[in-house]
Amino acid sequence: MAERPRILLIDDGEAYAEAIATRMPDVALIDPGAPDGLLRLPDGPAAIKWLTANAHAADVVLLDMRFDVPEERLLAFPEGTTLRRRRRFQGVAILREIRKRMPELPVVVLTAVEDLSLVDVGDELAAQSLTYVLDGEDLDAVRIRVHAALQESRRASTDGDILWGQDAAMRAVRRRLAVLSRGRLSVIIEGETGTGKSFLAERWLHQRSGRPGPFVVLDLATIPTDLIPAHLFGATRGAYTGAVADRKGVFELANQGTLFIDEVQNVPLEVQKQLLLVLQDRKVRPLGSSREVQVDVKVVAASNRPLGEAVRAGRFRPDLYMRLSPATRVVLPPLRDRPADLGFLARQFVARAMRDPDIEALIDEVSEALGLGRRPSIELIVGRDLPKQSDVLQIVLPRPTWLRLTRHRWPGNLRELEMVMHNIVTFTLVAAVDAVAGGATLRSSRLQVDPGLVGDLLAGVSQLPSGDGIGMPDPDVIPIRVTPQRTLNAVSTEVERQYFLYLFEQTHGEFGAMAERLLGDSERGRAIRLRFNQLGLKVRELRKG
Amino acid sequence: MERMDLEDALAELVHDLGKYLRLPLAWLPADASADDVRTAATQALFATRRAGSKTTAAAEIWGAFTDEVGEHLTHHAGWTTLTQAVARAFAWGDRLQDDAPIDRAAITADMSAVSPAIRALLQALSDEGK
Repeated sequence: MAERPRILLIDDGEAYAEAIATRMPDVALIDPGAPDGLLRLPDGPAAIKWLTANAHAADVVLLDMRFDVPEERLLAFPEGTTLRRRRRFQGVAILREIRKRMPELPVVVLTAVEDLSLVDVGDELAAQSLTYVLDGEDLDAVRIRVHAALQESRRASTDGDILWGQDAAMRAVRRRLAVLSRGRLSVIIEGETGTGKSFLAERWLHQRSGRPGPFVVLDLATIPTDLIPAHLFGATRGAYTGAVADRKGVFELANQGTLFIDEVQNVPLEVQKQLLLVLQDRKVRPLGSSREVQVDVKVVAASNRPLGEAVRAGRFRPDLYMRLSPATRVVLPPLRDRPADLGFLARQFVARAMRDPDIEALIDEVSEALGLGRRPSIELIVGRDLPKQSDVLQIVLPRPTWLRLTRHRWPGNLRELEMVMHNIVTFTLVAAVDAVAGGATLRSSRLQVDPGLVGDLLAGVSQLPSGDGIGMPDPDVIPIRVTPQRTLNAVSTEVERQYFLYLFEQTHGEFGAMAERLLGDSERGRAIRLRFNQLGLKVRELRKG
Repeated sequence: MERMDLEDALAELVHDLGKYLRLPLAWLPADASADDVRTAATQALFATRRAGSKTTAAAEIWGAFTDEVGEHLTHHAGWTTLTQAVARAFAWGDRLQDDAPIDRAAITADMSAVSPAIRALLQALSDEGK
């Protein structure tokens, strides 16, 4: 994350762009490539197009309210029965479009509150989170609001180490887990490997539960089946071959706390009845023992595929499933279904990589070679979308390389992304250090990432079995159904049609984003839309549907 | 002319005239030089709205407004207050032409008085419609 907040100004006039550029040196006004060269976007359609193609490039939006622009450059404002009224409240129309795509992007609306009081939009804006109405007369007030909004946004997107991001499904998970953390209610968490199940169980469910006992993990993917009962319930010495001493089970160990059972579907059927009784009676009897131990444990059961499927297949007892409380089931979305979060998550993982002592040492070496006085922070940037800063090492991903990351299916989810970003940072710093050792002079704090490195990292991962390799669908495969056609061309058209539909869904119908993924150029949305029409796809109907 | 149209016209005037008459002076640092004050005031009056290649002076904005809606508002008590506030602000235009010292507090007060006067009229119009 850049140290200076990156501000996107949406304003038809020029006064704010000039004033902010000259009087607010602690913010970076984004150059969005406006035709007139000014550091602002002059209307709603241009702003929405830019934000769609540059998700996460802006930290805060400053938005004017009235836009004195031609009708064709106005976004729809249903309450605006006249052109004049549409112009007057165009800021609201723009804000609504931003909120559809980026509910957590802070927006400061530059207008006086009293100018909104005549219509209901004042209430609408007041009800939104991360939306602030501010008369822009005092630039110090604008500066303070920008920094405060950024802080609030960061708090909303991260809780300590938890990376919620902006994806709507993750926001829903967060709300649900906040409720489920209370009390002793069991919780089922489903999600592919690497989506953060155990992390959320510990850092959110357990920590917020207020339970005084410990957080205990039992990963049933790593324990031989015949030892699972002993691990779960404990055992006395000699209870089974190899039991050379008494051992406590995880229920006892987690007393007063939280027990996280990972891959709960691996509990053998013959042990499931015992587990059910423990959950029902809150008493556990170690193997080989006649004593029962009272336990008070909150159970979080995790599975990398829907537990209901195991029930239907007869591999998991329905009564145990019901006891685990399927009503509390929480499903973590895979990373490939959170495309809008990729930039945010990548930056967070780069920031995390800085805490690695090995990386700290590399940063120090690069810093010394550049003659910087103190250890700089590092940030990830794509292309050349940020001004150079002397006190920051910029890890620069070429845009095509970034596009490659956005197209990757991330079968290992967050864990994979974290590994890839960590390696990108490490190898990029190592390359700089090696260059200096070889006699080269570092002239810039911008360090280019080698595209070949990213290719190698992603290729290494894609050779792994997808998901957990046990019945998970391959996330790199898009299901396309082809029925027999008369000609090869008809088959090809049908495949293209289905792929376009898939992209339409992935990009929420944004042609700029589709063009960026297909052609590497978000400006060519019109060409994609044209092809869409040629394929007989009706945009209006798809959007309705 | 419909009341809603009058309200919208006044809202435009708040934004295009009231706001941009006061902003250049409001944005000056406390220790701004006399030249800076003069430049800001000149911008406020003569380059009030700038968008693309179009620059509009305060007098043009006010003229367009009065041409369109003035006659519908003259009977309002707030109309006189507004026209007087605008006249005081515009009077600075002549004084900016010569080299006489500019009283920053006085010119800031006059430039800032237009917006509240428009809002008062807008509020009165709105109250009338309730």
